[in-house]
This record gives sequence, structure tokens and C-alpha cells, in this order.
Amino acid sequence: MTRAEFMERLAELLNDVSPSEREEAIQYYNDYFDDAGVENEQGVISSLGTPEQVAKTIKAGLAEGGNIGEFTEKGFRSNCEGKDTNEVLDPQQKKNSYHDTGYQNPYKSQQTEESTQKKKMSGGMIALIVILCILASPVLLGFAGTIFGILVGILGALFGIIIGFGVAAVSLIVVGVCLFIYGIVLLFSIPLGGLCMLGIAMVCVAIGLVFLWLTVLICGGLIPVVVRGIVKLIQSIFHIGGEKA
Amino acid sequence: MVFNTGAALLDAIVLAVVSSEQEGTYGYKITQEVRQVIELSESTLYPVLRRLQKDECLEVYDMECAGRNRRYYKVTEKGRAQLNLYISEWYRYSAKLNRIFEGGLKND
Repeated sequence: MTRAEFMERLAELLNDVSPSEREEAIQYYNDYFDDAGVENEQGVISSLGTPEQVAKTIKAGLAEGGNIGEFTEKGFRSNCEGKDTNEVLDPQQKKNSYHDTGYQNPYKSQQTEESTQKKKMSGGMIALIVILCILASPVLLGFAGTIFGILVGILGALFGIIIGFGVAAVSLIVVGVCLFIYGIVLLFSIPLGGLCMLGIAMVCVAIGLVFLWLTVLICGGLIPVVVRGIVKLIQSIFHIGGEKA
Repeated sequence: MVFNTGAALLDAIVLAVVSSEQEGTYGYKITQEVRQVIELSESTLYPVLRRLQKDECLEVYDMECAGRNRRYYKVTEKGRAQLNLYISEWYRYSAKLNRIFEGGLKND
């Protein structure tokens, strides 16, 4: 394209612009070519772009009251398609530019992304805890079993002591009573032996009564305390378990 | 260039370039000078010059040169006032930025 062709086309394209504006623009670009010199003609033509682009820029400048609205804070974006030499931002930057007209608020979207990530993470945490619980269940079951065993052992020991004490008390009292009767009978044949036997019988009954007292003490005092303690222990374990879940 | 040139800044640059010539200057020369500082398509300046002319910041006159009329642009009184406003605003703005940048460097 030569300068003459370029100017001819430009004049054609500016037909719908007011004559004074058209003349002004034509004069400007004629001057421009003159001042650039014949040797730079092709350079100017390629640098200006097509006549269509130049005409579009001129018309845009007129249409917007002289204000080429494309001068935004992100720099000049020529109204002619293509060649926006002054558009400094590359498309990548443009996307991130908060002055972009299609401003998607990148920060906000990032935030929501983050929060969803957080939500996902908390969900993952729950899943992880569940998996951990399942994996640890042998250990937990072992632990629970141990506690249960210890409790049963304590209860068993207590029961054993109570039963032992009770049996001892009953048998000592029974033996004492028997010895007492035998002592009375013996008193008639061997008075000294009978008295001795009565004394032994009374000692037996006394020891039996002591055991009986101990048994009652254990049953009345110790068992409620132990049972309450066990209940408390179980409650606390369940509470911790509940918290963990 | 990393930074963008807004409309006001481009106006200020053009006014400054034109005002640097006592007798005024012409479109091609203005374009070349502006293009030395900012990236700009050659067809960008015409609408800017035309707008500044309409806003009475620039006046045009034709002068005979090498057997043809060349259109010259010259800054008007209004244009000079506008340029002074732009320049003082620019100093305020750039001073603020410099303070922030220096603060940023100190904390490095």
C-alpha cells in the first residue's frame, strides 16, 4: 500500500465524519507523511496500521467527546482492533489487573477458593480421625479391655474378700456355738475342760463377730464407694470418647 | 514498559513535549518524542492532540515549510496552566510513591 492509497482509503472511511474533522485528520496525516519523509513512507504505513484502524481511532476520539474512553488506568487501549501498541499489559497481566472491566475480583475468588480448601481440609480431618480410630481400634479395644479387666479384678477381689470374711465370720460363729454347746456338755464330766472349751468357743464367736463386722463394713461402706468410682471412671472415659468424636 | 500510562499522564506528556518548543511543534515530531518515553501506536496521538485542541489547551497554526503548509501545535495559556497542574500533581504523587518504595527498601 502506498501513501496515496492509504490516504485515499482513509478519506473514504472518514466520509461519515463532519467535513471539518475529516479535513483536520487528513491534513494531520498528510503532514505526518510529509514530515516522516518519503524514505520512511512504508515504515509509517506499517506503524500506523490499516486505514480502517486509523479511521476507527479518529472516530472513537470524536465519538467520546474527544475523550478516548480507552484511556483507563491500565493504560491506553486503542479502539482499533488488534495493534494496541500502548496496551502495556500482556493478556496474563490483564487477567490479574483489577482495573480490568471484566473485574472478577481475583482476591475474592482466591479467598473463596481458600475457604473451600479449608472446608475440604476439615472434612479430610474428620475422615482422617475416623480412619485413625479404625486403625487404632485394636489398641483402643486392648486399652478398654485392660481397664475392664482391672475393674472386674477389683470387683472380684472385693467379692472374694467379702465372701471370705462372711464365710469366716459364719463358720467361726458356728464353730463357737458348737464349741459352746460341747463345753456345756463337757462341764458335767470334766469341769475344767468344759470351762476351757467355753472360753475357746467365746473367742471363736468373738473373732467371728469381728469378721462379720468387717464384712458388713465392706458391704456397706466400701462397695458403694468402689461402685461409684467405677461408674465415674466409665463416665469419664465415655466423655473423652465423645469429645474425640 | 511495566507501568501503564493513563489519559491524564499522556495529556501531561504531550503538553510538556509541545511546550518545550517555544514556536510550537508538529504532529510527527510530537509523536516521535512521546514514543521515546512511552510505548504508543503512531495513530494514538492524533485524537489526543485533537482533544487538547478542542479543550483549548493547544492551538494550531499553519506555517509555510519547504513549499507546503505544516500544521504546528502550540500550548495555550490554559494548556500551560493545565500542564502546571499535572506537573505539581505528578510531583506529589511520585513523592508519595518514593516514600513508600524507600520504606519498602528499608524493611528489606
